[in-house]
Amino acid sequence: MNLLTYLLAAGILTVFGFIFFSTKHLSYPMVLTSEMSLFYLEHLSQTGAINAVSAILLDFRAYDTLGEILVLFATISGVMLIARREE
Amino acid sequence: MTSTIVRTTTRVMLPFIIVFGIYVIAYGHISPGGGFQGGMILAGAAILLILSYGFDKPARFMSHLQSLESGGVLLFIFIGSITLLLWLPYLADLGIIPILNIIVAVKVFAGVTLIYVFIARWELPHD
Repeated sequence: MNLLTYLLAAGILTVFGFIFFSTKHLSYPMVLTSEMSLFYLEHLSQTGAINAVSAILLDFRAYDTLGEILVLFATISGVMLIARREE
Repeated sequence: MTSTIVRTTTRVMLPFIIVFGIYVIAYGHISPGGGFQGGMILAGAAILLILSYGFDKPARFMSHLQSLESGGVLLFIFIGSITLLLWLPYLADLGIIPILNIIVAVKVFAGVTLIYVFIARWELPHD
């Protein structure tokens, strides 16, 4: 058993622990009627969009979209670095 | 892949695919859809064009695609920073969701097309 095995086991245990404890406290009806979803629906008219999904993606949670865009940017940078043609 | 059947089918289908992609982008704030999905559809159109007509003609636009891709990221960050200067949350209540959809769509279109072109032209090193 070297160090890498211990680290791997610790990582797997941590991930399963997070999954267990996060799903333990999320009961299904509480998610559906949480205050956040009611807030989104009540403040939908301020964003200028009827589509609630677009309003959440580009207004309430725009940081998520920014991160998504940056992830795509990093992906393209990696692809260009690896798959570049030697000319 | 560049047979006559594929070319003719591409020539017939391509305008419809592009119009549908633009529709998904432009109505992203009203109906289901948005910039990401519309950009993916447009990228599919571009990939279909490259598949059926070859790399030679689109090769000139590669640098423009890279500029679009990086410029989209910068534009999104700069527009989002406007509300930060007004001491509001990031991109809060500006009412410019269609414009942001278009920016995201251009960026996704350029990015996915670039990924396809780079991977398709990848030559394994001879060792």
